Amino acid sequence: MPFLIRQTLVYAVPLMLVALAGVFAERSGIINLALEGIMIFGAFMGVLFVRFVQQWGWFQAAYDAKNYLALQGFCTLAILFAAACGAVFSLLLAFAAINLKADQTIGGTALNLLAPALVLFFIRILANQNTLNMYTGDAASWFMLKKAMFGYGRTQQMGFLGSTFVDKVYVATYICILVFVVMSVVLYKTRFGLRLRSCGENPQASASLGINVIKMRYAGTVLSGALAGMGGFVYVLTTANCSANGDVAGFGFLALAVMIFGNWKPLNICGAALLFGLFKCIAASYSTLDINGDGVYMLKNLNINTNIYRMLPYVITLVVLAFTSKSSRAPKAEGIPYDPGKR
Amino acid sequence: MSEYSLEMAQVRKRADGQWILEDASLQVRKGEIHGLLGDGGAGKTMLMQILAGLCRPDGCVTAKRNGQITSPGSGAWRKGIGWIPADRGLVDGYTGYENFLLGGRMDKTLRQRAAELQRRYGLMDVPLDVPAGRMSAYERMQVTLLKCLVWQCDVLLLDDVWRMMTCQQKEAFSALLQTLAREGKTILISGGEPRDMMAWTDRCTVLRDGKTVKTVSTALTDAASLEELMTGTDEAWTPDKLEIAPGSVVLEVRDLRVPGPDGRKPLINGVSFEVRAGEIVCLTGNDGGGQEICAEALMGLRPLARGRIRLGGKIITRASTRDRMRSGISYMPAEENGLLPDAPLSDSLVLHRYWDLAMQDSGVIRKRAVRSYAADLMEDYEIPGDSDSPARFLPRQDRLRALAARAVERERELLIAVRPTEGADRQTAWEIHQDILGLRESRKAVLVITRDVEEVKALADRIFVMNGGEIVAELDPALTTEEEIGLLMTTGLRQEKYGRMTEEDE
Amino acid sequence: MKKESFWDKTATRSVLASLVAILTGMVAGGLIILIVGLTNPTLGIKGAWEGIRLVAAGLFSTGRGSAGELTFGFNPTSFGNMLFRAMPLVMTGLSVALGNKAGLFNIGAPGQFLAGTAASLSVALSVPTSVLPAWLIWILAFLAGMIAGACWGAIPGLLKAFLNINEVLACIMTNWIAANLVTWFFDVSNLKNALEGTKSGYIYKTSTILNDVVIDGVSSTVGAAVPEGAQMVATRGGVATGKMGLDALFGGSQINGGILVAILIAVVIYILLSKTTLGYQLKACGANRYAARYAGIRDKRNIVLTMALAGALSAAGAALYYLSGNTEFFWNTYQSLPSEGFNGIPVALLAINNPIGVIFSAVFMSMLQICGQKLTELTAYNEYITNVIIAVIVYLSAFMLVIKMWIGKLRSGKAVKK
Repeated sequence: MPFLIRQTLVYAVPLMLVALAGVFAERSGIINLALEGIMIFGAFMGVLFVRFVQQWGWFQAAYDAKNYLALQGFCTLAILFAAACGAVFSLLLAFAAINLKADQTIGGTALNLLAPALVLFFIRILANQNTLNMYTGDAASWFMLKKAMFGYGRTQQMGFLGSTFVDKVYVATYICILVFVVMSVVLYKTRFGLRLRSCGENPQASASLGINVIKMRYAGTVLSGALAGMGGFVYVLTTANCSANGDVAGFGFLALAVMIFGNWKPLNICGAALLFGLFKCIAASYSTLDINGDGVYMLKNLNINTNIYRMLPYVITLVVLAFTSKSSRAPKAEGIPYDPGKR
Repeated sequence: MSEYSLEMAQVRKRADGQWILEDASLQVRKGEIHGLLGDGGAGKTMLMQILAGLCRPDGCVTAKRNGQITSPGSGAWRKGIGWIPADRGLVDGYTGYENFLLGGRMDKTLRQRAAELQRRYGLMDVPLDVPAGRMSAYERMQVTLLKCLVWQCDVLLLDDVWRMMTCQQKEAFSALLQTLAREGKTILISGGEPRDMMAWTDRCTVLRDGKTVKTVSTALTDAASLEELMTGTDEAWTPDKLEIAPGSVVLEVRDLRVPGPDGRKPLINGVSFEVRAGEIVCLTGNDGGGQEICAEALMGLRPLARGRIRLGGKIITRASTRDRMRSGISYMPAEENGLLPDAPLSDSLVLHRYWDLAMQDSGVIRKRAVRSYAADLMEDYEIPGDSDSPARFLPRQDRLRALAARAVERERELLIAVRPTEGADRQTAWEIHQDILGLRESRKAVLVITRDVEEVKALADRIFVMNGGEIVAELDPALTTEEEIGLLMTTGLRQEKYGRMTEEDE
Repeated sequence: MKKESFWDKTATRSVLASLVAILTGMVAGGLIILIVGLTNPTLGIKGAWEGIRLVAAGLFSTGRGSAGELTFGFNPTSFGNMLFRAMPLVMTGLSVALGNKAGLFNIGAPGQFLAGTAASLSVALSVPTSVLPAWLIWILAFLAGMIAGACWGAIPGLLKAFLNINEVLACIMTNWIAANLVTWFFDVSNLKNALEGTKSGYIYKTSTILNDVVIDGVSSTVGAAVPEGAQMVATRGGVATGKMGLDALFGGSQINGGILVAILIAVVIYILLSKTTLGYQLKACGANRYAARYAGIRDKRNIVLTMALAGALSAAGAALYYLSGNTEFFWNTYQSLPSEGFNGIPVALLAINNPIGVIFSAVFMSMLQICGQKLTELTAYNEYITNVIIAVIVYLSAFMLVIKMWIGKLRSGKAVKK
């Protein structure tokens, strides 16, 4: 059970963060289809950062001395770097969509093509293979929280809360949750958020009040990129052992689905992401799942083909969308380039 | 300090490949109510947007704000200018109060200031805690005005606000504007009706084809002169309407009901009327009145929960749109739903009859037939341009005429026209009205759906006013007034139940 | 009615815009190669220059000469492979282009491609050749692929038309559902390559001869040679697209007649769109869905029809590719979607959704892929730079259309002003 919850969080948290990234862009009026590409780029840059910093030996002393605090700081720096890179990458979309009033769907698709191409190109040149790994060690030994850090021996257990939320987790996951909450509050409870959202609903009225719609849309897109980049790096950190291979297996598009599913609202997005995380987790590990700890592998015994489990999140999305699409409310002015002179 | 709060000279602005403004000039004094008069397509809204600082002109010779040379559109220009674009100035999902919050620093006195202003200007019953999307058009306009006052704007730019007001509302509003003007605020209000300018403004600048024609003091002129300045000719542009005795019933509509979304209030309910040969029936109402839903239901584009439709005796309640067209209905949708913007114009012109045997042969389009049809249509109705170029490059007046040409040319038994002259200038409107009246003379039946009360008066043999999805009145155009029609459209009542009085009047 | 000058025509300006996008994309790629070469000591300027030459003219590369310099000339293998690889790209490009013309963004081409793969492979490898001749099985397999693709494409179409679900979202979901379904389908099938030692992750090539035999009561499948004393039950496989003499022209490559089929289909789609009432209706729905509705066009039916057609086209591309007889399908595909599906998007965009243009842009894209291959073979660079070039071209095409429209308005504004 603790394993189930932990793994669900591992999938769900980056998912909800990237979905929120999509919300930021769309609420300001820009369709951001490039979430997948930005995730790939952020993941790569984060791994690159970790790799180079390890190569330069900056945190090696901390690792040897088991200075876990410093290592978590290292991890946090990498996350921030990935976020910054995601923000910069999204400027390409912002420029095309806002200044050049280009078709935002095409612009997003272009970035989705550009990111894996660039990333794989450089990975090959740097590492002569298709995956970029950490320079030394692995993510678990460097960044994971373990019960040993809190003085528990190998055979001691931490209790339910402990083994679920403290043992074998990455602090990165909790950082993401924090960022999600903070950014949701920013979007919905602050004046900045109010103005940002007004740019997606009625840009002309906003402009007449002195709001700089162009700046706001840039802000929305750049924040979107930062969150997606962060989500991308945390995704590869926690599920791929901090290695980048130019692919996030459709996670960015799944985040889009979660965003539409959650009707552009943070709380619903959270729920949807948890649902997806749960199913992805079950699909990956159902044969070893012992739900109530009684030694019975219930799901394995049902003998359903693995692929059905893998399909479940996508099928469920379609089913739920079929029932909820009629009341879905996208921001009114999204996708329409802001043209001040239009009637 | 200058007596003028806004001055711009020789403004030029191009959009969509055309020069919308070529030589527009304006000088607005402080404390006056200044009108900007212009026909459809003259450039009023563009000029207002430039004055509001929302977009920059492509060129102008002078731009002064309070006597200081200031760059139009810059922060210094925009400070203190409030823009009220009819009823579109709010974010629909926010309440009135939340819309206020958009304008500046959040402070605790905002509510108090708003309440105080409401008291001062007699806007007490304007709702502030209701989402803007649920307010009426007039209320939204009032909230937008209040928003500008809360943020201490000294210049108020009102774009095309009279269109949505009844006579009583215009009077009350004018009293409010005069109070504001006396306090030193500058008011610039745009519109297309000389009579409104005469009644409610001090001075008026007339715009024609993007150029300023003249600025006059309304005390020294009359509506007819303004009309002449606005259109450039002294033609009366009154359509010739002959006396015609209507024939048999062509369209019979009984008890139509279209359900609302999610089982809420029906969009139209219990609508019944008839249109006879040789007569024009006008179905009119404000946004949400349901008249356009009626048109769509008649064309088979809306599901009917109840009701019956008969065309020339034949029941068409369940017929497909295409079959209805084949049975004799010609449909002229509103401009935004009529043309294919990026396709060649000929594609748009043949949209309503591409399935005709003249235009296609077992699924293959006869290109030559289509082109010659388009060419003939454009020549007969004097639409300039090339039928191969995309429809979006045609100026709006020509687009409207193309839509009318397409609908009228075939002389079907029934024409249903939706907002046929919205945004048209006097001449184009007259031409389209002549086409419609021509159908009437040929003893065809016409149903016109419109918001424009003037159009109703010009065309209708009978008038049905809709409000809230129901027909609230059937009127004889000879016996009713524009005021009565407007009132019925807005409130559903023939007279105001409660007089609206400001505190000053009491 | 006055005639537009050549330079005013929308078509001319579109082609010009595409060419500018291509050129800029190549320059961007070249710049990246240069920068990498300058910062990398082993490559240097000489390496960068080699890289640039290969990216631009890799199609004509014939390897390295005796002194280690790059040599160029007519390389029939490269040419043939370029046309071969272009084959599925033409089809997926048509699929996306058709969707775009009708106002739908068909990002579901990969899923439809997979549906076609599964259907055509299973028919080609299961229908016994004792019952039907190989060429008939080919046709059946091809049709089966198209039908499967049509059904799969219709799903997002139905969801959009009747439930108003955004088609991008529905397509993404169906892509991944297809990937899983196809993996499952092949997992439980008997089509996994059990004959060639290490290839159990792949499906048989359609040209493989499979003999189902019974020896001492035990059924098994053997290759072309039937062992002594075996009882033949059925022969299947052995299906491959005819070469039609193209292998003589382009010896050593994988080319076959499939590219001709693809070009033919492109022409058919072109005729459909420009000369038939059906094409007119589809384009009207794409231009202004409401205007089309108000003219009595059944927009919901058209959306479903368009997506089904688009699906059939994508799937046909898959069928052509896998029925060639020399291609293998990696069936455990639930983690990744076929790139041919996504590459249809830049092909369509570059061709401005014109079916004939799709042929050329597919060949161009395929040429870039060959250049990328040569790059990897002959230098320290790798083939992903060509993907970067393609991505830059797509990025540029997003706003080339806008700029083109500006120019159009400028010129016609002068003409139409009253």
